[in-house]
Amino acid sequence: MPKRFLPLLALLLLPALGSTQTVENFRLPKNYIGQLDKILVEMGQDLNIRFIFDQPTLKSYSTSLMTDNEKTVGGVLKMFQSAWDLTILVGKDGYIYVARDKLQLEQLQQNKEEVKEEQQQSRKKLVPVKRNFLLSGEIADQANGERIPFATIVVEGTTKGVTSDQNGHFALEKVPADTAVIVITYIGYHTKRIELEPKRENPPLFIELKQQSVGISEVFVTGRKDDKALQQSTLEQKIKMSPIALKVLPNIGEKDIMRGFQLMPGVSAANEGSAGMYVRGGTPDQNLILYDGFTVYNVDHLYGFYSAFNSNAIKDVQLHKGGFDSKFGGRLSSVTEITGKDGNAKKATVGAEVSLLSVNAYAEVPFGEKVTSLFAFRRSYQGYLYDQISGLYKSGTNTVRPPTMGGKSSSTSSYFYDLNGKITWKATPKDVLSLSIFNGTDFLDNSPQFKMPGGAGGGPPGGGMGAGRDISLSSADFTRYGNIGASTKWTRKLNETLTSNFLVSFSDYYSTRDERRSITVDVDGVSTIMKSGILEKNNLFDLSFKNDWKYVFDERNILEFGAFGTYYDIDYTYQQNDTLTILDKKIEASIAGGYFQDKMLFFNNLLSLTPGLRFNYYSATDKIYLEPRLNASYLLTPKLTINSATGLYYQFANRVVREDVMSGNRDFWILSNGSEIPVSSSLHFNLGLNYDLSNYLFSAEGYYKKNRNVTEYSMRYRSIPQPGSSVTSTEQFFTGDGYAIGLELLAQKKAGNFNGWICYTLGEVKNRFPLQSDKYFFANQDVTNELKMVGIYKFGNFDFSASWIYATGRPYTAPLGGYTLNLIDGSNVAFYSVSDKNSYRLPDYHRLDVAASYRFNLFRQKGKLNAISLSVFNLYNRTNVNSRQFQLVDDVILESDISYLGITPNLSITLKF
Amino acid sequence: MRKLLHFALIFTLLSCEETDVSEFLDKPVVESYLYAEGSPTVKISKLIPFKSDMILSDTNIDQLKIGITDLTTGQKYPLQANGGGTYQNADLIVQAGNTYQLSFPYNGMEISATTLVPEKPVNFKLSATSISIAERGVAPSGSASPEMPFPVVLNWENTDQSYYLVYVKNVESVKEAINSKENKSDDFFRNQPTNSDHYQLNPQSFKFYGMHRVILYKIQPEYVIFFQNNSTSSISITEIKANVENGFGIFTAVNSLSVYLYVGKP
Repeated sequence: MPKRFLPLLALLLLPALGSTQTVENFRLPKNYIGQLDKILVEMGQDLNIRFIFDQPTLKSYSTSLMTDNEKTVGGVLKMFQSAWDLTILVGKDGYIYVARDKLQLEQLQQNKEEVKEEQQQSRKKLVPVKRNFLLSGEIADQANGERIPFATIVVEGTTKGVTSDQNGHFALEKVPADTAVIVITYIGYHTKRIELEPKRENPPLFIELKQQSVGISEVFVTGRKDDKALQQSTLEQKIKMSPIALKVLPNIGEKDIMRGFQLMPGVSAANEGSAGMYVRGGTPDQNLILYDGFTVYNVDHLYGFYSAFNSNAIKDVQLHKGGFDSKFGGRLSSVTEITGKDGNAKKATVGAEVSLLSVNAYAEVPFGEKVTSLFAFRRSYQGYLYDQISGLYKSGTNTVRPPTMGGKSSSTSSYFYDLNGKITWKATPKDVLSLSIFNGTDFLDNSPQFKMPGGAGGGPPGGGMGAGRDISLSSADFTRYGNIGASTKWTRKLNETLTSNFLVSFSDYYSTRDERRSITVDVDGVSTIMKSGILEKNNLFDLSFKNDWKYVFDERNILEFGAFGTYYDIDYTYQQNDTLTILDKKIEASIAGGYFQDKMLFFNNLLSLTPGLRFNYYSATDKIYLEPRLNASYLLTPKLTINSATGLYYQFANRVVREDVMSGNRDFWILSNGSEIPVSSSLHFNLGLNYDLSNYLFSAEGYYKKNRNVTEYSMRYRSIPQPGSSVTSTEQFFTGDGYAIGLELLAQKKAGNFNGWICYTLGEVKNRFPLQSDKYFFANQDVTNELKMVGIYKFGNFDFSASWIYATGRPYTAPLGGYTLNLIDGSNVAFYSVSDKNSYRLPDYHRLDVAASYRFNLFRQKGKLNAISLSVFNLYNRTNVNSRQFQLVDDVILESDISYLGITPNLSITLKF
Repeated sequence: MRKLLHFALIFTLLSCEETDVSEFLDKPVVESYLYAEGSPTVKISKLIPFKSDMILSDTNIDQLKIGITDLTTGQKYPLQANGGGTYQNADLIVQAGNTYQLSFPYNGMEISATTLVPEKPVNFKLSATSISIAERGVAPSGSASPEMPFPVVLNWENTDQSYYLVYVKNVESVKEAINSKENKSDDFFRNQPTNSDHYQLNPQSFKFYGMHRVILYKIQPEYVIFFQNNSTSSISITEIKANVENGFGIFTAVNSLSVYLYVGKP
């Protein structure tokens, strides 16, 4: 290899990678004066682009590039061509070749490969100074300094690897030699290789990863491409999500993390009415949602059409589909771990998004070098999309209409909002303190208001009547629900191997539904209020602490342990007419406990075993609940992995859904009391096989869950109220056992301008409530077959995507027969005899969504930060059935369908400043 | 690999649990109110099948052997068919405090239901005997006249949280509407069953002028559930199971007291 190509070597060693296909449009950041070879080296470093040239050739050229004249790289290259007749090529391999003539260009291209090889050979010749040493560091986003959790750090060519913690820290034990190459990967970011330099000291590394701008040019990417929104883990039954990459997927109004997960195997997709996730046959309340460490109890916005999480405020989401670690508990099915963004550490940024549903604004402000902050706010407005969705539910609303009378009707108002805030203080290199707040609330108010002022123009006041009297009548249809929570976390890295987290948090879920008709009569200042209708209230307060420790003996033995405690205060009341209390539950309870888990690697790191134990003391039953867990994975070949997990899981707080198709399902949280609402449990068995190639992933995972003490609230067999006591819920909860079983298949193309996946889930969920029958029935969430296809295509500044979902219809209960009764008030009312529970199936669900977005540069920024997106939900306007309504008319039972949303286009605009 | 096979085995074994199979069974619908001091009528009807493949038996609803037994006295009263599924026995006069049982065979099943006849409501009072309500719908908007006296409250004694139902009916033969646009409204209204000891009358509920009969029914728990929300959606459709064994409908006893209220013009 000719010596004169050596300067090129230095350029290739530059760690940073360029990241856009329109390198020519890059603006010059400053003036460059001097020899051309030096200018290109400097410019390459400034702009993260790679020039390939023959140094002795270009040394002979000198120039001055002034930003007043030459604004872009493309302009500069044209100038080189015209001024010196140089041959320029922006290669498909991503390098910019600058040559004297075509012949030299060919030589440069040929020699590039040789250089790479030479580079590798030369590394092999390096003599390590240290062996088996500990390498630690921190991973951050290059653009904003945001620490990156759950990034993978591995020693190239080995199976040694760790993941970064919530604060982006990592400690890699026993790195074989300080001549090794470290590879850092994280979805949505360019993979980075760090070539270690043999030195006596190895101070902690600070590694910055660069976000994959959505229109990544293939040529600039080396190694694995991880610009996917969703990635299935091969060692655990887990899905990772990069919220920044979510925008490429079709959406309806909002890029939504929960809807994103619903496109992956094992998470049911045919639930337009629930943002909560049905993971492997579990219900949304069996999915633990942790937002910066505190539990979120309500994730629904607008009848469940959207989730309460603003993706602009979220850094990372991990969904553990089952068999999760001992550090998580309190739920039967799955865990969704959400990490909020810390905020830009480098400069203040603000951004805004407008869609047909909501406006969304956020600000990221650093204070000094140690404090970062982020605030995000989103609020819906009652526009086209809001009306479309709420109209689905309102059209059938059977609200009590006030009698026609003179008076004014005020306009109705409904909206949702959410806000996220986080302040992070990196107090010392070893201590990080953060405060995180989240609030999401929905107001649905369909109440017309009437007011009749008395006196003026009224009938003649008889006997002193009339004057000074107002009658106002209102028919309420008001719902308010949401969740507020906050956590304070202190992370201390005692040394490179021992880290602790201390977290104190609270979470408050509130829900009020007021469907009461009230009449207020004001006589000479004395008001009388009369109310009839339904009032439903639920409040859950959770105060928690957690203390987690992680000790890395070495990369083959990582011990985690901790303690936790939660105080719960839940009450729920359901009243009719102020007097008839149908349900009234109040319970306070505490859970306290601890856990440990030890991840151990055996057989040259091929086998990973993580045994663990979690124990809980629950005050309401005064019992201890032990949860043994075991996770294992084995690398059959470097590409073929087998993983399995088993464990016992208990749940103490349950969400009960009182289904109401007329105005959206109502749910409420209650605590197990050990008697009519027992503590439920689930035993998991999971097994998975993954074949992971550089561009493709093939995966098959199976699960079986045996559930005990499953509780369901049912109005089916209503209890006969007993005089002498107000009505209690005792006989309205059904308890039994059940199981969920399933197989998930996934084929994913991970890289390239065209990528996407196909997945299929075969599943069955059944329950049995001995009080109803000895036989198993299909649970409401049972879906036999579910097929999902997602395709994403990048073309220039455009992204196109489409997703198609097919799912077997859900089970439902239908009447077998009907009859009418004359009640004593003379009215004639229809009643039904019903089929065995859920013995019928709704028609199959399927839907195609498409989206196109265009990125553009508006404010002279680097990269394309602004976008305009058009998406169409349910493109072929499939009428998917939510439920059926029955009506007895003239001795015939009529059946009609309540449908989900039809074709709905949406437009959104993203601007960043 | 062994694990995989083991898992596959579990999967196969456990994925075939038996599911309930729906079947339609011809059960009778009973409708009978036992008013204290009255002679009850029992009406039997058949279910209306939802689908054509749901076949009813050929049991004739006018040829049933129906009897009511006074469980307090042991006296048995066979009922005679009056046609249209109705049955009666003029000798049976319902006594407050007694328990009655209905029973008859139907389609190979024994149908039965039991109810206790409540005592009359005690200390039932109305806070006014007449009220005045201005004509609605004729005055200009925002100038309607008030009703007096207000509020009108019904009180009764309820020490054991029994259920009561208030029913108000206009008894005039010629109806004069309070709002001329609402002259086709029902001439009655009622509250939801309550275990309270009072109820406020809502002036807006009155649709007609003239004399109204205000009836306070003391009802039994088995009847209350028919007044609760009655879902017609596949998500939450429910089957009301009252007190008729092997059948549907209601066999319940009622006792009542009436007072009168006059609604006049101001």
